[in-house]
Amino acid sequence: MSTARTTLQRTTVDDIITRAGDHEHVLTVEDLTVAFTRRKRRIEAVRGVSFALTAGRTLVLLGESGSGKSVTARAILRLYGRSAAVGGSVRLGDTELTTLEESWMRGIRGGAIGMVPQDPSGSLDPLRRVASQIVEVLARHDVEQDARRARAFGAGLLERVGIHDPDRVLDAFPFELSGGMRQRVAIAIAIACRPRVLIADEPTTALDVTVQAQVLELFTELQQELDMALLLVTHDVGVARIVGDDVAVMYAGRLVETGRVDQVLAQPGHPYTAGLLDALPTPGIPRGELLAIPGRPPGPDELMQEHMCAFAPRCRFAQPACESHRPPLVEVRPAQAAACDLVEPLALRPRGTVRPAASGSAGRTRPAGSLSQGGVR
Amino acid sequence: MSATPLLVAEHLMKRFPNGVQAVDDVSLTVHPGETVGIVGESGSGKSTTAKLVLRLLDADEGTIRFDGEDLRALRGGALRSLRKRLQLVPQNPQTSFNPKLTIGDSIAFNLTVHGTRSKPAHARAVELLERVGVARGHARKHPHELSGGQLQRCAIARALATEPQLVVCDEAVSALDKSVQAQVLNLLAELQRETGVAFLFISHDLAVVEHVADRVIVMYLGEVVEEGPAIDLWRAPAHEYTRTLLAATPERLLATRDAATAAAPAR
Ligand SMILES: Nc1ncnc2c1ncn2[C@@H]1O[C@H](COP(=O)(O)OP(=O)(O)OP(=O)(O)O)[C@@H](O)[C@H]1O
Ligand SMILES: Nc1ncnc2c1ncn2[C@@H]1O[C@H](COP(=O)(O)OP(=O)(O)O)[C@@H](O)[C@H]1O
Ligand code: SF4
Ligand SMILES: [Mg+2]
Ligand SMILES: [Mg+2]
Repeated sequence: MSTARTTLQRTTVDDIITRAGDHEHVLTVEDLTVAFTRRKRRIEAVRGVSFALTAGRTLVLLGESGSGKSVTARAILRLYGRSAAVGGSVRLGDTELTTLEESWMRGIRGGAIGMVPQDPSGSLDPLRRVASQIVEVLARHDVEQDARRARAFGAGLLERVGIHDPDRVLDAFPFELSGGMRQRVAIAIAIACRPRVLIADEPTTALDVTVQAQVLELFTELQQELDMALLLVTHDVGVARIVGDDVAVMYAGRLVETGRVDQVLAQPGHPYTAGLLDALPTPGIPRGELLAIPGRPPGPDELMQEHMCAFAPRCRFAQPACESHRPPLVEVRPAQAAACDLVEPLALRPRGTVRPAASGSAGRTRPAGSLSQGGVR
Repeated sequence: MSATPLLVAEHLMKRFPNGVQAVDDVSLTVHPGETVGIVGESGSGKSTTAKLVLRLLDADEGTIRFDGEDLRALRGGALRSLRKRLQLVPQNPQTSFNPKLTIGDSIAFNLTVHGTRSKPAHARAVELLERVGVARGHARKHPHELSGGQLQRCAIARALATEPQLVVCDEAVSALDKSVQAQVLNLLAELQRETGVAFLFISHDLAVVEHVADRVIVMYLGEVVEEGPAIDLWRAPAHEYTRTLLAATPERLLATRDAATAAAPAR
């Protein structure tokens, strides 16, 4: 009886997964909201986020800490259970995931949708050898039930992610591996079931620059090979530029800009995106003259005003109107949308060109809310 | 650059009891008012080198001269007075501030421990907070009530309280968001112009090091593998490891990609 039920479920999950491949967008997120309750107050960490993932392409979710990137990623997989109120829609192909029965959802998680977390120790069980963790995933998703064959399969996966001595690693506990090695193991597990969608939450943030470059390269390769849709979460513009096809810039729980990575980073349409680019140390900028964004991103408990632009307190283009209305995400040029209608896109030239001439004055940081003197409009 | 160096460390060695040779014949020089960067991958010995220089760890071998004095020979009061002139801004301010003390008390403590009386020490703490752009009211707050960027400014204020000649910044901006990181880097540059303090600036972020440092030391497996002005190192890295490191930075990868795109006909 229970076997019959499992088989039935398996067929259905497989069905969902197969059908997902027929859609232009493998995964569609629409008007996603995620709210937590803290000290009896409703905290909206994600507010009306929409995007779609395409097979073979990478969407980068870019934003500073606390902007809601991880919450978005985790909510897609329904990892919050009852601890968060989730609204909106998440569809794998044409299957609604937000209302899917939990037992089916388990087949989707780690099956059709793989996940690589920021800190690999979060996904790896510290008390179990790598081999047994891989064998378990393969069995759970019915890829390989035979333990010996699963181990051999696992060795192949480890080799695929660039581990040269898979047998040693299979027999190791996670703590016996370096950070880069652990992240490779986590990636191997995430791709074990050939997912349609791979979600990677800051997968290289904990790694060294040299290792980071290797791991990013691995992602790009695997994505092409498996024709996956990749959602890569990062706070690092450099990472976005390397691996991203498309980008969604997140600020205070909302998307403030979307478009193709090359286009958005070359001609940002939102002052926050432009500010992020300008803040990076770039060769040629004299010491102490970085264009910082004043203030800081809003904290977790800060009450966010619905009727105003959340970036207004830090925006150098802010005007009185920004305090009384919140611009929606609208197209600023083909295939690029920004949630700011007060700045002419041309004003936000790529970094380097926006900087005012060095005046020798101390702080380069403009006071919050002041208008730009840079001949913007 | 002044002729007499502020810090001269020569042939430093440090092996930990577990057998790790964390620092293997490291020599470095810092002149007054200069910023020397240390880059290298995780575990290459950057922090250990910093700890030797700060005398938080004792070197097995080698000499360290600070402002003409033999740093390794200093004891007691002489060591304490040296600590005044040699300060640290650590990576994680959240753990470097005593959670039970207010920010103002923590900063003032760095002065009272060196003999300043409590009242002027607290007044100076408030002054310093304002100098680094933190509202004076924050002096009465506890570390957990401040954001990472604010707390890092407080850590800078605490380090500068004793008017040091050299401040070691060990990944001091690495944990900050990029927009806030730029503010703190600007602040450090400004304070350096004002006070002439020298920085030993450790970071794994090459773009940051390139921005702040006059000279850069590249460490690999406990050794200095390359050293020179940031510009030279970046333009013409001599050592294989420096090349690997440079090739791995997003901006470099991008530059190569951009060059390729520019060469290709427009899509
Ligand atoms: N107290 C200690 N006991 C034993 N080994 C240590 C100790 N501190 C550091 N090590 C080892 O010494 C080596 C150098 O460590 P260090 O902390 O100086 O590296 P680092 O360059 O600062 O790295 P990171 O970029 O990760 O901060 C490493 O192999 C480390 O594991
Ligand atoms: N389980 C939770 N309970 C309450 N608040 C949370 C929870 N997880 C995240 N948050 C809050 O939601 C906001 C977004 O967090 P997160 O998505 O982790 O940001 P990031 O963009 O850095 O990944 C933050 O303000 C965070 O404090
Ligand atoms: S100009 Fe106004 S609407 Fe646009 S980002 Fe700035 S504050 Fe927001
Ligand atoms: Mg996160
Ligand atoms: Mg260190």
